[in-house]
Amino acid sequence: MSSNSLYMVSGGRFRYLAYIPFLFFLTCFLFWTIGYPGHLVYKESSSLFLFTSEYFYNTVSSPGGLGMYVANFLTQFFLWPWAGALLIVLLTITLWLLTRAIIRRLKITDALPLFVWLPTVVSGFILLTIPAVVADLLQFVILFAFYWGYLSVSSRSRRLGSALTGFVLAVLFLPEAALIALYTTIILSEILFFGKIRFREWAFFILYTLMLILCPIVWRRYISILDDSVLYIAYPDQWFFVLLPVTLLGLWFSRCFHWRSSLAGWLVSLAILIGVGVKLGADRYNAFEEALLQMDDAIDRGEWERVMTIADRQQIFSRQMIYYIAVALANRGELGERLFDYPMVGVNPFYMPRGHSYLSSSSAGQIFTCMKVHNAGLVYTFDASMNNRYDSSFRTLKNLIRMNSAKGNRILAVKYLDLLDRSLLYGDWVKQQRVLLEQQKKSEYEDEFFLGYGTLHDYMETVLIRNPDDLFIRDYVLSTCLLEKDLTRFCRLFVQTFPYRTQPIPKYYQEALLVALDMQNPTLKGIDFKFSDDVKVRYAQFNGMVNMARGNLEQAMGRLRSQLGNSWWFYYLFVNIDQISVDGWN
Amino acid sequence: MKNVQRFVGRAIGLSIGFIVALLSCQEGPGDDARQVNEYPFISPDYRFVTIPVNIAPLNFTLPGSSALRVDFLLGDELLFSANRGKKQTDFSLRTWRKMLAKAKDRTITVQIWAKNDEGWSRYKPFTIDVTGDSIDATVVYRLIEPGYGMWNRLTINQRNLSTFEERVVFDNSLVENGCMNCHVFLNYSPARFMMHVRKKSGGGTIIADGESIVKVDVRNPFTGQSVTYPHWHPGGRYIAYSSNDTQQFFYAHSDQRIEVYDRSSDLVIYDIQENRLLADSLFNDATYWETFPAWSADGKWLYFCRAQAIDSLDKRITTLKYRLCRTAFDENTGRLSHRVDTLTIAGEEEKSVSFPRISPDGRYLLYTLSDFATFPIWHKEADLRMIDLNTGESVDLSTVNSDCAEGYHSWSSTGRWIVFSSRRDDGLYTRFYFAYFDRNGKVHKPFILPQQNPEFYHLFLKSYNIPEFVNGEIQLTPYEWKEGVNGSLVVPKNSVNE
Repeated sequence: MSSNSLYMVSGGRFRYLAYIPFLFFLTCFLFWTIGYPGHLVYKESSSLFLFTSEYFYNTVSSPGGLGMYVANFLTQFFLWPWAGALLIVLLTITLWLLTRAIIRRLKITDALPLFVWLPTVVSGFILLTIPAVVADLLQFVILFAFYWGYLSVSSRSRRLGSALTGFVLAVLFLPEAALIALYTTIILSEILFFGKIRFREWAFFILYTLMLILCPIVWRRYISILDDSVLYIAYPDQWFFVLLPVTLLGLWFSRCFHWRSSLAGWLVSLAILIGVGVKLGADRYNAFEEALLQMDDAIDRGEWERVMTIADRQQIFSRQMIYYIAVALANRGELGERLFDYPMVGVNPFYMPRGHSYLSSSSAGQIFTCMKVHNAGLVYTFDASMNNRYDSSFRTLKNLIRMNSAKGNRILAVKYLDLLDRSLLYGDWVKQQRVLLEQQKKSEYEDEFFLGYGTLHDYMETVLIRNPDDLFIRDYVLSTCLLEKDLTRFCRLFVQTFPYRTQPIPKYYQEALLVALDMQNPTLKGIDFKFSDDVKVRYAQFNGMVNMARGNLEQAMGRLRSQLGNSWWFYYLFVNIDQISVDGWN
Repeated sequence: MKNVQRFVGRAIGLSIGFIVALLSCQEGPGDDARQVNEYPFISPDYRFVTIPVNIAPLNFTLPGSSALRVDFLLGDELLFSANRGKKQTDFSLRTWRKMLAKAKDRTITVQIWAKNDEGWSRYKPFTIDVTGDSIDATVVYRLIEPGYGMWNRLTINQRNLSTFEERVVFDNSLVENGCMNCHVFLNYSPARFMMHVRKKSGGGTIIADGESIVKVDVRNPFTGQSVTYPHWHPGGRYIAYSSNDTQQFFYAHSDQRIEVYDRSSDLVIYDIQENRLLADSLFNDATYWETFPAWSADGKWLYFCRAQAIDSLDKRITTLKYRLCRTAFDENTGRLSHRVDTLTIAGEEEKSVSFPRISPDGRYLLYTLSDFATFPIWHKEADLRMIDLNTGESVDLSTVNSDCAEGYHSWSSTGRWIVFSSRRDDGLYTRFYFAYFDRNGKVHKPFILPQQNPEFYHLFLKSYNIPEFVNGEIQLTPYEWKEGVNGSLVVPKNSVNE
């Protein structure tokens, strides 16, 4: 076989096509590093790998668990997006090389390029979704490796025998769906590529089939508990494994038609590959989720500036994005100044609900940690653990350490630190936290109170009154009042906690105060606030326009917005806070 | 060819022998070991405990050490010596069993040498009492994250107490990740048990009798509410339940993170034989809240906890106090007497009682005492208490209680052992402790459920919940159990006594 045939490139006509693989892998690397790093980091933070026997046993006891164990080990390196991208590309290259090696073993010299490239191209799309894990890609590669290993045995009888004995090894690395794909492909290749099947060989096929049927049944009887619904196909993405037999059938099919030298073959292949890529990309690529995950990572690292940079690029916002923006703004002390620059609707986005996804719960606790209501933070973190397939993750462990440390609960913090210390890459982080923990004192609270989820504002008010000098808490709670249009509570808390005599009043607080003064709010009686000229002028204009449009406010809405920009007045008059969706009134 | 094979065989044999010899000859302490005049702070703490002759090996570690040598002595006789060159022990099951058999009803002295950066140190020896009063073969419990009203994977596991063998007997991943709770066994039988399963597509109360499993819709006839805390009558025909309208609130800061309380609770009795629910208005009125039913050993009395109903509980929760009560039970009619006795225990008038459990001989009553409310497992101050029902005197349980919550507890079938849950390790994750209750009515220092890896608990992120002794292994498989859970729902007849 000539070197050109390695790329399935015919003679010298399409020599330049030999560079396509390198271009493809480079594009993949750049895409993951620059275009999709949020997903890579999320895969690491939502996974867990520990050097403990308990973790090993728990992981390996599920079908294909050893493959999962290796994948989880590799996932640790996704902490750095470039390393994650490199690993993905290396796995993709391995798959490409395996496909070629398989074609060589099958002695096909005229394969349609489509089937040389199909597994590699598809593998590039596997990890694009939030639930996809590195194990999905790794096991896809391992599947091809097993098949290649099988083909490496030249004698048919030995090959069939090795497939029988190799089942034990395969079952450790591959889930049942992949095993079905592997043994189907083995049977197909013997029938299609290696001549007439004798009676003895049919016996092997029957044995394979029996093993495939019995394996999950035996597994669930003796190793771990599996529900009927996940016995053979555990989740929808496992349909990717069908690509192995599909590729084989395609190769056999294309061999029959001698596509090798045909430009038409190349063009058809390219068209189909592009079609598959577009379809998979449309189904699995999600720029919105990527922005969300990048924000999530920035929140976890406390990089508030980065949160705002990502937010400023967004046109549409989800509830969780608004939450991230609120946390970032409050940490920068800008909530009162910039609150309505983003599509805030009601107080819902300020406090994430319980019982939602892992992603939502793992970050939702952060706000309560910032507000020094540690138990609420812990509640969310436990919720996140429970929504995670590993019952815990690097992110939740870090959260538990931070929260218990902040709370001064040394015994629990040390427990979680010791656990995280058994990972590969968090040694330095753990050391830093141990030093911080040494300096931390046990929190003491004189008056305990309940966190009633039905009376959020009551207990948030309590939190602020206990911490009047905490800028984050003050900003967050006062903004909560504005979002709830609760002017009475806002005025009461503002006067009680905001040093308005010495500090400039943020824009949106000024706007609310002006309305309250007009409404003769008794709390503000006799207090002289320093309003900026701009706010006063805009308020006069706003009132004028509203008065002019009296009776037809709906029509005035657009004009008010375009001429006076975002304001609390506008929010107060026109935004329906019963509306939960925040997909942009902006 | 044969020569080559022989050579290879010998080479392998010699290598294995060499490795075994190397491993068994760890460097031990010499005569120059430093004498430390204090007891070693081993983890878990097994110093001066009393253990049953059939318990699994008590492996431990000594934090700060890099190697240990442990000698077990019976008087001057060395029973065995372990020297692994590691900071934790891993006693052989066979050797351990032999040693306990030899030391039955006697006291073992444990001598520990530990190696650290400064070399070997010899600690003051401590003792372990080995009693011939065996413990039941198995303990059944639920493993759950210490979350708050939410869960992902729950399992009910059984653990062989003589080995480290643990098996999942029920797994909620088989039933839509529903909630499984309140497992209870009839007279320690692994074949007859009940539990509740709540899941999206309809749960119920699962009652197993050998291979037969039925799902019953046990609800309070007065309120229509599902039942909660069960206790099986020793005669096997009845199960007493409380039906609780439970609410939970989170504390903002304290280590006692959550307060769970009932806004009302009542008692009902399910008659398995007749498939009927017996409810009496006296135990289903709004004046009192009744909960935690527990039968006396002879089945003639039903003990329970009762509180005067109050409103605005979120503000007055500390005033909610449960008293220990009992009423007579007529096994023939299935009816409770209308006379309710309140057991007042001196010094405990202002406290709240939970989880009453009578010893198998009917003489002792074990319960949990907390400052207020009805969910002591989140109350740091919650302790175990015991009274002698013959004399009315309290039994001293100071050896078993700690600064953290002691909660659920059960008696062994012989009445010589109690198992109880406690958060004493870290204040959050519940673990089990076993305490010996000798014939003189004295409770000995408890020990934690032994694990092969002594660091297991430190790294384990689930709580042990509702320990119940059984005298054998549950034979039902999780899949048979699942079929029962997904089976048709039996609706009992109501028999209400107004």
